[in-house]
Amino acid sequence: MAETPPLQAIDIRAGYGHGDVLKGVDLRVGGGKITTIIGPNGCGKSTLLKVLSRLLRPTAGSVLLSGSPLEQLRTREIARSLAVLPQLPVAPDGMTVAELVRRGRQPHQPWYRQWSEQDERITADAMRDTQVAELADTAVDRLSGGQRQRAWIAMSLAQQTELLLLDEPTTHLDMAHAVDVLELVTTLRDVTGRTIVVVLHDLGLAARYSDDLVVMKAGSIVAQGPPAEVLSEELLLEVFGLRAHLFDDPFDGLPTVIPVRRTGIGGAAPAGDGRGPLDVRDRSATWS
Amino acid sequence: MTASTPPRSWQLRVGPIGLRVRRRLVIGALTAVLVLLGLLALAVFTGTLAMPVDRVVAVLSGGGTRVERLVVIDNRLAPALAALLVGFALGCAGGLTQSITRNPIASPDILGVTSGAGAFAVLLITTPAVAGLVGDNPASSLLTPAAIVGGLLTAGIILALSWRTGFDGVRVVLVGLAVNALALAGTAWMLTRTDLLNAQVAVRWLSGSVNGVKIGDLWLLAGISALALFVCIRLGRDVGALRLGRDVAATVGTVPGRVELVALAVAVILTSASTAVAGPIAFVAFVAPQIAMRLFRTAGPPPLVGGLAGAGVMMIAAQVADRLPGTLPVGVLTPLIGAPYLLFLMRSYVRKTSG
Repeated sequence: MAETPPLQAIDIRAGYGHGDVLKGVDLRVGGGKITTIIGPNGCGKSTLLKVLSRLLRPTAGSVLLSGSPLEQLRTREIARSLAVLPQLPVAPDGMTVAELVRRGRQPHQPWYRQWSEQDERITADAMRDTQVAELADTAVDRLSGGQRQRAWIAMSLAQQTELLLLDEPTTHLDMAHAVDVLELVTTLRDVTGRTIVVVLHDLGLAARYSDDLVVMKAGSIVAQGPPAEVLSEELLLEVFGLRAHLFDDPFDGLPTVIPVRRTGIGGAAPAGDGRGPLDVRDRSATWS
Repeated sequence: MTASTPPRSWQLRVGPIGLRVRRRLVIGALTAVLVLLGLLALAVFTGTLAMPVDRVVAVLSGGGTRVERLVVIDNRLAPALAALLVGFALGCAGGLTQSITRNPIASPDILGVTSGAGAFAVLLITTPAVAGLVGDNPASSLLTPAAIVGGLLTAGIILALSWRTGFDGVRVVLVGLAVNALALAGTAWMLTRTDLLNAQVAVRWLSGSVNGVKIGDLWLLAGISALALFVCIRLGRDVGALRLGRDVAATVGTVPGRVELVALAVAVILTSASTAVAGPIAFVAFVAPQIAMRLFRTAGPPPLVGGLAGAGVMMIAAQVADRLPGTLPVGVLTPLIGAPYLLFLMRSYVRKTSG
């Protein structure tokens, strides 16, 4: 018998009232790894993350947190072992970084003790680890996109949970800042041993920064495992409708995704097998 | 630059209790309490009828003649306390609803809770069978329950019509605006159907006034305000977490639906009880938490200090109404403060979205 995983989904079906978006998903995450969920738009990646964190109740199946069904746990209990960062969260005007990060201590505090030396130390550590300590007294709405994302991650860190779930943490960030955030996530895994689940859009970044990939299509998981084993040019075409070259980075050996350009380069004939630029048959998968 | 100076905080640790508050908030709240006490003293010791300080003190310590008691207790103290309590209740209610909906427009007076409570009270006044029982005392014993039932019923209708899979701030506001219009139309219709005497009583009550309120009429509102004080302290951080959005609130252990329902229920009861005392008072619930938010630089409209700001706005408006020629009801003055502020808010919104 395998030991109980920190987070397990069993035959999850879920949706928003108009049929199921998730059509029977099984997933186990744990072991201090970074698991990245990828898939085309509308495949149910974010829905799966919502179900895993009980922000959305599944219509069937169950999610087990260290073996206990989520629906039997109190919200505060869940918040002590699982932190979630929704996509593009918004802080109220004027709230400072330190005030935001302190909110992460809420699940550990009784209502009459909203401050203690220990809370203060953990908050400071979280800000230091995410390099926002010098921004502690700056309003969150005045930060740049990358700083803001690090401040929110600091709040989740202050929760001191075994599991950290991030929904598209690199949305709206330029590549340098997106890489910064994922480097931070990797550091957190290495330093704190947290198990991290990330939803990502960018295949190239997902391939480089994940221990495990979960590939979804139309509400189901179609492949799962280390990037080098899971990714193939056939899979990219089949799941994403993306024609891409896949090879190992000559510098560090990590899998690298390079999209194939379909229009000609410098007046040359279109690349590939004579397929014209307007032929979008394979992209139909994106819209399902 | 003011924005870059760190907000200094005080940490408080007494036994199991631990707190961390911005210094500005503590000093501001204490100042507000002092200002309110000053306004209360101003109301009790001065007035259109001159009375020596020692006579007022004599009345307050239980002495004085019957006429003196009438002037100090009934004409000065009771209206001032009514303004204080009604203002606190409205400001607190507005802070709660604005926080949980994350929408400055979503205060109980704009959403129709006040009008709903008013419509029910008017129904009571204009229905011949019960009108006789009410008399022309605007805060008589039957008006209070009628206004509270009306407010709760209106809030129930708004919730029932706007609740889908969950609570949605924008939908609540849109439904509330429609319900508000319906309640106002219903009130106008009832007024046209009733006889002149009843209509007069109703219109006087509808304009919103604290004059004629007896000390005895205030116990219920005082009790409800004390209860609200406790709920605001107990749920303060959950309401604060909701300002980050429902999803984020849930991830730090707040149960959004439960907190929203409790906060909404408290806000509706506060609004209805204060409407029962002073009639429908416009704009205080809307404007007070917004004033407090800017004055004390809090992240979001604060329910408790919003209540203090509301008490201040009401007491100042009551004093001004009292000293202007002619007997102006305070409800006529509060929109004069609130409406320009709404316009100001709209202007800064436009700048924000276009800039």
